[in-house]
Amino acid sequence: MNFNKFKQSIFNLINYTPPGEPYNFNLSNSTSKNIVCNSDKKISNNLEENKNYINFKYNTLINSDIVIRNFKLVAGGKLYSAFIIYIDGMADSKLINDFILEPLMLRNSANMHKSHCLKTKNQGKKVLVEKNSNNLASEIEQSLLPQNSLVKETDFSKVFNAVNMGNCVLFVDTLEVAFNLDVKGFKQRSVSSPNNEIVIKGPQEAFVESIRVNTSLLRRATNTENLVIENVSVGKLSNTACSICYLKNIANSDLVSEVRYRLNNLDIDTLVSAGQLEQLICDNRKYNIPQLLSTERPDKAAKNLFGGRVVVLINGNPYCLIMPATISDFISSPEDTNLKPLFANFLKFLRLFAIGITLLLPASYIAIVDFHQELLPTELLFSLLASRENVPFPVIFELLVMEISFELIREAGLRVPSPIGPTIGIVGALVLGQAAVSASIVSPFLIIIVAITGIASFAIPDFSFGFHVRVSRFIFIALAYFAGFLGLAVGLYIYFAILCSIKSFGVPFMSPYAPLSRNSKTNNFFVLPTWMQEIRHSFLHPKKARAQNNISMKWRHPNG
Amino acid sequence: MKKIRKILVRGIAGIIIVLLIFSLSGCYSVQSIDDLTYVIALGIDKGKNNTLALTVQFTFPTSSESASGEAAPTIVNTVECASINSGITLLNSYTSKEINLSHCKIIVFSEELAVSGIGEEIFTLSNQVEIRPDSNIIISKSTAKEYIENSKPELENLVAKYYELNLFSQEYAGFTENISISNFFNKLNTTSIEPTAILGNGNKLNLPSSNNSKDELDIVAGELPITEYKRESENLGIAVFKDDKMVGELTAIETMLHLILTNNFESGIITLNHPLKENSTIDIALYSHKKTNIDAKLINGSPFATIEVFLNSRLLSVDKNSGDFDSDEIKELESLINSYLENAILNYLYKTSKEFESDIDGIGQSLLTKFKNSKEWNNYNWPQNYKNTFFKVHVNTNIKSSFLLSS
Amino acid sequence: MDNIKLGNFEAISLILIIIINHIILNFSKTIISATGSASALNILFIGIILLLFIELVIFLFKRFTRLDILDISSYLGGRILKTITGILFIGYYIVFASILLRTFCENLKIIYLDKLPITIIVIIFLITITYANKLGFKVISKVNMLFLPIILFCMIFVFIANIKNYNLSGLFPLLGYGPKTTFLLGLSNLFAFSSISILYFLPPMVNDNSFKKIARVSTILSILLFFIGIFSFLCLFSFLRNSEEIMALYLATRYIEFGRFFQRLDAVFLMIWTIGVISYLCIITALSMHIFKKITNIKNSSALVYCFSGIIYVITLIPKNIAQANYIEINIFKYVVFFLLFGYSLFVLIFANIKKISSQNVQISSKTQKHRKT
Repeated sequence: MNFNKFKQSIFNLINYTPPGEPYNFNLSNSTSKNIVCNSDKKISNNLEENKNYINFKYNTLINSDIVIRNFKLVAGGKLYSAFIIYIDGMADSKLINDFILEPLMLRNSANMHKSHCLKTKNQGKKVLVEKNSNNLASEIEQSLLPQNSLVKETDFSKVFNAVNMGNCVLFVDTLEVAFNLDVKGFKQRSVSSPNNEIVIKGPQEAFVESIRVNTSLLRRATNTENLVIENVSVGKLSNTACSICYLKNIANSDLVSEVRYRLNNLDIDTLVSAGQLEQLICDNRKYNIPQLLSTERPDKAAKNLFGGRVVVLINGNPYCLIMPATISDFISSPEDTNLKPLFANFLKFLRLFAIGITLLLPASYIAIVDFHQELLPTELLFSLLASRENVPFPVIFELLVMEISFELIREAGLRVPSPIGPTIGIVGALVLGQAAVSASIVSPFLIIIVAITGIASFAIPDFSFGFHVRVSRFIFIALAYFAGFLGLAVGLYIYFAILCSIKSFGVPFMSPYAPLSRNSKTNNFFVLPTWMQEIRHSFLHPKKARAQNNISMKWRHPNG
Repeated sequence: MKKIRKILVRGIAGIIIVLLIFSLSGCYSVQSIDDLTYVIALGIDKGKNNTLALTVQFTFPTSSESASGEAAPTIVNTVECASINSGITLLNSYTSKEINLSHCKIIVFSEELAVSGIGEEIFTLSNQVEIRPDSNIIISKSTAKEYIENSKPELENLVAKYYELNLFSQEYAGFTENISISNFFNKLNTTSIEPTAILGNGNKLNLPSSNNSKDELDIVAGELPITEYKRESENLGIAVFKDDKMVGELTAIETMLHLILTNNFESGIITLNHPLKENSTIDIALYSHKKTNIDAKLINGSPFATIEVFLNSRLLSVDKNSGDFDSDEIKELESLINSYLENAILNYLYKTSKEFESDIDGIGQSLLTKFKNSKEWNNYNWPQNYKNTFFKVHVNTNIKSSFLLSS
Repeated sequence: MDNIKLGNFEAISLILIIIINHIILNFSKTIISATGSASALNILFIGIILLLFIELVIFLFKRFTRLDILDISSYLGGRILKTITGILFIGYYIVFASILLRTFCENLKIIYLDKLPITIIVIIFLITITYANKLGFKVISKVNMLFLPIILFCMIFVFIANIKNYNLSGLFPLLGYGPKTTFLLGLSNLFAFSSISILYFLPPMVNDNSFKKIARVSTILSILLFFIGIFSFLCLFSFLRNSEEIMALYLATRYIEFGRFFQRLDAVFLMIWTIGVISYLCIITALSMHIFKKITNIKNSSALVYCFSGIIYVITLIPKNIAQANYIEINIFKYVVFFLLFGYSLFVLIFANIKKISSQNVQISSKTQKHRKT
């Protein structure tokens, strides 16, 4: 029996089973066209028409945080149907309840005979209220809405603006105006500044755990009615609320439906973190390369939304996932847009350099010391020799010990209670390193190599990508130890082949370099000056390719 | 479950394969920096009992801070051997670390060996992957061993740095040339130019004391009139080869002319008799101005080379009257320099053609362009015909600038 | 794999990487030993002939849109001719890729890994090729496109950094071994441009109208590269004609120095060349698999890569030493390239064109007959 099992397992090793059809999703041009409609429509006096238009504009059927409340109000003895619209999380629901719905619905019925009462109590005064539909608006304005800020709107565009800002808008049947009521109420206390993605110039707020607050942050950052926030609940037990956010006039609808499809088809019990979801929905699960961006910054999320990407928020997580992501997203920082292009590009090169150092510096040290000593200038070689004079270990052992103890210090520094956090850095790095050198266990040269590698690894802006690079460097060390630069060449080739082969939501990971995007203006690597950022990334196949006109600075070229 | 087992089996198989590859091959190829010792100078002499005597110089740097001010100690080993490779193998069995030539800075041949031909050795060294193509090739008038032993750096800690800097800085004086082994090898393989090497000497005392009748610059290695010295090795002049055999040497001033003709000249100083004043000399610094134009052709079967030299110059000696040169006198001075140089170059060229019969200035490369195919060229046999060459030299010198002070 | 689509840059870089590898792997030395100091002139002459040839090929492919040489030969001679063509090309690709791999590995062994047995060096390459090929042709061409600029830059860098060592007298005498050798016998140097064989398989993979552009641009760039390479080698080395062993480009990298600090950068360049060679081998294997799949109609070809790398491994180890490998490279390769690329394929194309024209004529005449009848 056991032998048979053994035989079977050996047979399985060499047996050829044709691989199943791999899951393949390619992002190409959006299949559903964007329906263009003019947004400067006037408010009509038909309530149903208004409601339909709003439903259409806000996609209220799938948009989870848009609230439309229908009710009836009585004014001047007549019953009018009405509704209010606001965005959950941006408007203060207590204000709405107490000062909009209550006066309109409750006290209104008591005021049915208002004119009569007036007559009896204040004799000689005339009744001001005339039961005329023309004056319905003013009646509501003057006596039914105890609000300090009230604007009458006639254009839908202004209505949408107001709703996006967090106001509540009241529509009443037969009226051609809508009442724009200021009930803004963000939970601004709970929003704090980002901890892990810090920028110097730029907004200082971060997502929080509550999904409703997060959606409101996104709403405020994007400020457009085209932002659709769909609710999906994931997990049979936990029923974690997730939101798919996208701009319906920009994001590729195939991309959106693919995200929706993947999120809806997760057969799991619980979903706790964004990291879990990232693993569950990314295209390729073989390699440890991050294929989705995660950020705690609403401004970064909003920027990506405007670029045509999809953002997924998870309840209970201060991080949102951005998809699809390509290689250059992992080396760009939110700082880039806030700086002049020259500085931003300089920083980008620095980061690229940092990735190269993290990945290859220890490996090339091994390769040079063990295989290609002639590469070193003679003086450097002799100082290296002098520093290694009394070290008993081979270089590879020395290097691995130091790299692993560096990772240890890093990991331990995370766990140590914050008051003594700096101590571990000092004790671990300084004292240990100094002692190791003076005890001739490692050479000072190697300490420098490990330290530079460590510093460079923290210059990589994306945490998970930095982690990936840090782990990959051990593979490169092994390859370099095995065959010197030949091993490195093999490693580099395979590494790039893997990078080229993976896709993130149908977008090749190496876009726009491979396949080469033809339009140089969508080149992702260089940060272009703001006035040149005219075209959205073509690999995202957005519905709206242009982000701005050829001439964005109209004041400079008034005639062009 | 089945999936997990599959992954497990594959993973274990993968690990075993990786381990096997590592254990079977990885350790072979590693040449750790700790196991090697680096030769910085290689000397090759004629052996007493065997064909060659191979001298190698190592250095072992120490990290101890107290010794940082002093020069790193060096070790010189010599072995008698039949060829370079066998010599290194013999030495390997003696030294505790494996010998590596990848940081060898200079390769020294003794004159004795060079005269009898060093082609074989050069080919062996050029075929060594470890040898740097830019290692300098030096022909020592003393034995190579003496040269290496007496190379004691004064201003540097490391001998290797001394070897590098020494020849780099010599370009400024123009008394010798920075000649690498690749350069030598390249010229050895063509018929249109002959190789040269740096002329060195490791033993000042051995030479007969120079007679006073000589010109100041008419000296070769070992004759530098430096009275207080710590190190006896020095480089001056150029060793002239015909094919792989050394046939003669160029003095300091001839080296300068050679550099001018081969466009490697940067600057140099000549001393002339003052044209206006009796019994006084005038120093003139020369700088290269334009590339030297060599035009060689065949006239009635014998080669004829027209050489045009373009130089800038500057007066160095200054006295009370030096500001008084008017334009005519400057012209006179220029023509004086020109005729002096023309004479010197002609003498030098005829020396190479008649005495050495070796075309080290690349006259043949100019002649080569006049031939249609290599068969004709090979039939012509330029190395044999060089001695019949006639030369015509034209020197153009401009006196460019003058002094900080002027009256 | 049937629906591989390549961008223009990817297609051009497929061809260029092969040319670069030919320069790395000492084809230039073969040319120089054949035509001596006139090699640069010879390359220019050959380049013109090659351009004419490419124009001819473009013209012949015009009637067959979206068909490669396999489809055309099946149109001409049915399944048998298609199989023959496929096997000829596969054999040619695999054998010479193996021989080139052997040469490169031997060079690597001489330069660095003198203690590593050649079998293991070859295995390192083959594992890489196998792994990369599992990811697909498209991925390989993408990686190739990413690495090509780097490799190209390094190559040009080697030539530029060596400018101070150039000696123009290497170009003289101008006609080398005489006009007959240069222009008539020198025609055999066309083999250096065997990379254009990829053009025969490109039409289905690229856009219809870009094939012409790709063919022309890649040919011109190839000629330019080869010319620069030969020119530099002639100016740099006086001994290339008679010495055999190591890669000339490697020797050129050894000469580079910037001041006293940056000397002997050859190891870095060797790493780049290694990436180039891996890229080349991956492309060749992927292309062979593509052909094999086309002639056998296999559904899933990803497992084929094991067979192909096994075959390459065996062929690589067949030559007993580097001299034998060189002999095969110099003497057999030339004639096989001539036969296959400039002879056989051209004949297939010409006859297929004739057949097409005559069938069209028949169709037209039958149409006109029908027309008359009605």
